[in-house]
Amino acid sequence: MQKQGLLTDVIDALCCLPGVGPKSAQRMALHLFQRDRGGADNLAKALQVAADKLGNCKKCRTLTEYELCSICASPTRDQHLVCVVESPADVWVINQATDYQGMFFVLNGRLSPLDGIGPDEIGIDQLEQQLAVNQVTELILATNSTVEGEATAHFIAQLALANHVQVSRLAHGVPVGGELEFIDSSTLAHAFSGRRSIE
Amino acid sequence: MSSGLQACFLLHHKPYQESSVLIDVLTQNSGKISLIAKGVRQQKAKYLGLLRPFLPLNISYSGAGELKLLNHAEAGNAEMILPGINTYCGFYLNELIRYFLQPGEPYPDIFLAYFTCLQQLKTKQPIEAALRNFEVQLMQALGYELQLQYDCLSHKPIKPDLNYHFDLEQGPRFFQQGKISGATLIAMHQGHYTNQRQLNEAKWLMRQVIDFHLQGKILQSRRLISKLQQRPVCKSN
Repeated sequence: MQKQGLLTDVIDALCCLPGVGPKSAQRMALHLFQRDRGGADNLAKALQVAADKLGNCKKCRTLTEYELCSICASPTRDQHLVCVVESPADVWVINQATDYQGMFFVLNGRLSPLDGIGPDEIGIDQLEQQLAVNQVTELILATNSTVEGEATAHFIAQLALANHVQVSRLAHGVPVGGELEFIDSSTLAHAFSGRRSIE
Repeated sequence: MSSGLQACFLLHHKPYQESSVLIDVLTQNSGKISLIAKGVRQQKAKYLGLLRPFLPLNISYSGAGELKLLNHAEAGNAEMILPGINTYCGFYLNELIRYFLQPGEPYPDIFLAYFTCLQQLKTKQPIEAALRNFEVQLMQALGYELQLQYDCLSHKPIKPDLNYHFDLEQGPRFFQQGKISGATLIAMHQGHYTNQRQLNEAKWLMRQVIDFHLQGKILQSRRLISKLQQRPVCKSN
């Protein structure tokens, strides 16, 4: 294979995708230019338009080409509920998996002092402004169940309580279809301490 | 070269490639080590959820270079779940260790001090004394031991009711307008603080000492903690 030229440029560019090494990138590039020229055209156009226009929603910080994303612009959604998540991918999975009808707030990261990520980098000021305007009645903290995610959740919870907003955290527990014998001990400990009474 | 199971704590983790993680750990017998843990970010990974800070781990690894390969990991004793702001203090300990320890050098005393400090951070008791004790022990184990017993000029024992100026290289010397009281120096030496004034003075002094040895590097976790403290909702540590 030649070491320079347009094809090599495409292969190198494809390597920026997660999980794509030189071999897969070569297969993709050859497929596009040998068998699917139309697909290559569409891909190029879509990428170009998206790279120019995609930005962050002014209200919830998720990725969108408009000023407000479709969720924030929707009149049917409950403005009093806000769910705080770490990434736009979390918005998608929550929307797919649940019947949640409130708003979202995307941090695009989590508090991690060892990586130099503090409150300013994850848009805490913006969230605080939204909490202060008194429209929000419940804040749902759906950050990841990692130490950094918990630290972020704790910080935001303190902020919300100071603004007299009710706060809840996603439950940790036994996965659906899971057997106790095979669950790791810390998940089981969380599930046990977070048990609830049957009504 | 493969090692047997060794007790350790994870200090920092960073995603690497599609499914691997680069981790720094503090081990009991081999000090600070960097490891690569392959395939741990997959949905069905064996160690999913296991490689996280403040959880006692037993690991084995292999490799001769600076970056070792994680072979096996299992959870140790009871988990350290740090309540509230103590998590950030835990990050502070991790950052200190990451910065000060040379890779591969054994520091069993620091491991013990870290473990003790985490156990104190786990409770909801005031934690300033625990942090100060850890800092003093860290400096001692690194060879930057603070001279807290004698006046460095007169070589007389420190008296609790006098004030001292603390020279970062020489040690304390009597100075009427000094910022540090003798009682604080004695408390720091014994690791037992009896009032808030001693804690405040010890905090100020240890900050000077650590900044001196950091040589201009900024501790991100300290910056974060002070940002948190600016907000009225977080209490001071």
